[in-house]
Amino acid sequence: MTELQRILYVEDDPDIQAIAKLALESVAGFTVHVCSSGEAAVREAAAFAPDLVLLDVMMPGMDGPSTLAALRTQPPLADTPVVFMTAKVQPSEVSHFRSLGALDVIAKPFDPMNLGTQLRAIWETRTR
Amino acid sequence: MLIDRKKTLRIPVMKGGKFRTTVILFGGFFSVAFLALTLWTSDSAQRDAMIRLAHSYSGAVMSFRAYYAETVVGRVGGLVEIRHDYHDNPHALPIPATMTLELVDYMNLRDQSLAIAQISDYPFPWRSDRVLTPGQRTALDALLKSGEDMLTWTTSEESGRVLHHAMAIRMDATCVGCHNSHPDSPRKDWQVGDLRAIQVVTVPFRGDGLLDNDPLRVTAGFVLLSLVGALLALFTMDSRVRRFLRLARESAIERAEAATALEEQARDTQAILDNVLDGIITIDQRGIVASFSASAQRIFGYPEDEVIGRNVSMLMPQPYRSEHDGYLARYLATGVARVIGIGREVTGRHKDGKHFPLELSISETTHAGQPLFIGIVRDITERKRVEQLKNEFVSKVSHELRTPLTSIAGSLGLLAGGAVGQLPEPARPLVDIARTNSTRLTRLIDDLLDMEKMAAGKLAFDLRTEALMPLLHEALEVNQTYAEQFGGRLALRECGQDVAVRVDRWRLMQVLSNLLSNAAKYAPRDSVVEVSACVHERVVRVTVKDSGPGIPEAFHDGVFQRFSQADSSDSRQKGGTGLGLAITKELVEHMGGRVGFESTPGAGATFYFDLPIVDPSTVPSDKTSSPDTTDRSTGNT
Repeated sequence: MTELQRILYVEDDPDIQAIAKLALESVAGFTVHVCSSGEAAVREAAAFAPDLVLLDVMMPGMDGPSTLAALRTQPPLADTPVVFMTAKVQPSEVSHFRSLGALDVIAKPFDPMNLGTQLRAIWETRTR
Repeated sequence: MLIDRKKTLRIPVMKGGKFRTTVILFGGFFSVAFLALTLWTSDSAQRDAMIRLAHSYSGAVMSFRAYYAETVVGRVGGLVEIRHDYHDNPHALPIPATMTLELVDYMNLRDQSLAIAQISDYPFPWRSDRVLTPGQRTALDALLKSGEDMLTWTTSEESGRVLHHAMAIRMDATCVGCHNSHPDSPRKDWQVGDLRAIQVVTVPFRGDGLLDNDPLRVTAGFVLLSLVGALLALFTMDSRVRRFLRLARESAIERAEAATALEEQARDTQAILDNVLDGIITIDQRGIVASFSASAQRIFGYPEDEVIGRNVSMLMPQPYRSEHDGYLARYLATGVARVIGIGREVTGRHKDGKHFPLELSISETTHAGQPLFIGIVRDITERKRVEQLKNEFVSKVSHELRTPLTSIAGSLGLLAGGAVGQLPEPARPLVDIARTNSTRLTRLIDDLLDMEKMAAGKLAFDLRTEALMPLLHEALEVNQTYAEQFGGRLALRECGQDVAVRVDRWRLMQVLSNLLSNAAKYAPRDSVVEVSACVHERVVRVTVKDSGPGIPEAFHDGVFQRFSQADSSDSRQKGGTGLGLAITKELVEHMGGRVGFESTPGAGATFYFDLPIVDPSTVPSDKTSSPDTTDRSTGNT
C-alpha cells in the first residue's frame, strides 16, 4: 500500500493556510503544496501529482465541491482521494460531501497536532 | 337581533270573547227566527185546518137545510103544515130556516168546541130580537158588498183566539117564492142569488200560546238544546283551534328566533373566517371547490366565483395538478392519506402563474352524507424568506466565526504541542488557558448551530437500530480524557443484558457527551461518575450519576432550559455554554425518548434518559448498524 506523502492543500484563508501547512509539514512530515483558490488548484494539481487533496469548502470563486468536480475531469486526478476541511460538519452536510465523492470530512477548527494522524487514518480507509 | 313577536306570523283571528258573543248573538237570532217561522207555519196550518173544518161544518148544515127544503118540505108540504111555530101544532113541520136554526142550536149543545149561527139583516119578526155582534155585522156587510160567498176572520176573546168562518146563504128559486109570498116575510122582493143571511161557524184556536203547543214546545226545546250543544261544541273547537294557533305561533316564533340566531352565528363565523389570515378551502370527493374563504382569495388572487365549482387542482402547479385527482381517488378507495390529518408544506399556484410555498393541513368531515375535505392554507413565502435569510446568516456567522477560531485554535495547538519549539514555562499555562477557551468557543458555536437548527426543525436524524452498550462504551472512552481533566473517572455499571434502541448514533453520542462532561465537571476530584443502562419494561433508562453538589431545589424547573446554569458563575468556572442540557432534551425527544433527573442538594445528581427498546431480533449479530432500517427524519416529523 502506498504511503501518504504528497498533499495538495486548498485554502483561501492565509492564516489557516499557515497553520495547516506547519501542521502537515513540520508536525506530520508530509510534502505539501498550498493553493489559495479552487482555480489555482485545478491549474496546479496535475503538475504536483498529490496523493491526497485537502480541500476547503467555502471559498470565493470556485468552492470546494466545484473544485472537486473540476479535478475529477482531469484523468490523472480522477481517482485522487479528496478530503474536505470545513466548519459544516452536521451529519447531513457530511453525507452530502461524501455523496459528492469526498473520502471524508475534517471539522474546523482542527487539532493541528493530530491533523496528520487524522489524514493518515482516512488514507488507510480508502481501500477498505 | 330581536324578533318582533307581535308581527311574526300574525293570523287575523277574532278575539275569543268577541267571537263567542258574536256566535251567541247569531245563534240566538237564527234560533228565534227559526222558532218564529215554525210558530207562524204552525199557526197558518192550524188556521187552514180550522177553516176547512168550519167550511165543512157550515157546508154540512147548509146541505142538510137544502135537503130538508127540497126533499122533506117539497114532499110533505101538501100533507102537513109547514110553520115556524110548529112546536104549537103537532101536525106541522118547521120551515127550513127554523129547522136550520134549531139544528145548529142542537149541534152547538152537542159539540161545544164549535158554534154555528145564522144571521140576517132581514129576520122574521119572531127572530128580530137577535143582536148582531160587530164582527157579524162587518162580515154581513162585507159579503153583501163584495158578492163573495165566504169570509174568515179571527177575534181575541177572553177564552182565547177564535176563528170565525162566514158563508153566504143565497136565495134560490124555491126560496124566493116562499119568502116573497110569506105573510111575515120582512121583504117581498127577493130574487134568486140575493144574500138572505150568513152562516157563521166559530172555532176556538187550539193551543193559543207556544207553551200550549206540544210539537212547538218539543221543537223549541230541540232547537234550544241544539243551539246550546252547537255553541258548546263550537266554543270547544274554538278554544282548541286557538290553543293550536297559539302553539303554532310560538313554535314559529321560536323557529324564527332560532333561524335568526343561526343566521347571526353564521354571519359571525363567516366574519371570523374572512378575517383569519389562513385561507380555508372546502372540496368535495371529486376535488370540486365548495367554498373559498376571503383569505384564500387573497392568497391565490382568484375571486370566489372563479374557483367555486372548479377542481382545486387549478391552485396547484404541475406535477401536483395532474396528480391531485389520483391522490384523492386513492385516498377514497384505500383510506391511505398523504396529507389528510397532517400538516405539510406544499407549493401553490397564484392566479398570475407564480408558484409560492404554502403550509397545508387537511381535515375530513362529512356533509349530507358525502365526504368533505377542509383545507387550511397559509402563505409561508415571507416565513420561508426569513428562514432562508436566517439560515444564511447563521451559516455565514458560523463560518466567519470558525475561520478565525480555526486560526487561533490551530496556532495555540501548535504552540502547546511544541511544533514550533518548547514554550517558556511561564507561558505554558497561558497558552493552555487560551486553548481551552478557544475549544469552549467552538463548542458554543456548535451548540448555537444545533439550537438554531432544532428551533427551525431542520436538525436531521439518521435513525438506525443500534445495540446500546457498544455506544455507551464508546462514549465513555471518548469522554474519559475530559473527565480526567477534572480529576474524576467514568465507569460503566453493568445492569442486565444489552438491548437495541433506535437512535441517530452521532446524536446519541452528543447526548452522552453532554451528560458525561456535565457530570465530570461537577463531580468531586477522585470521584467516579457512574453510567448504567437498566431495562424497565419496554424502555431502557441510561443514567449518569455523579456525587457533586447536586442541583438547588429552586433551579429544578429550569434545568433543561437554554442558557441555564444553577450558578451564573458556573459557565466561567466550568466552561459550559448553558445549552448542553437543553440540546440533550431536544435530541432525546427527537429519538422518541425523554430526559429527567433526580437530585438532592449536596448529595449529587443523577441525570437519565429513557429510550424505547426495539425488538432485539433487529439487532445485527456483528453489533453494527442495520442499513435496512435507515430512516431519515427531521425534528418536526
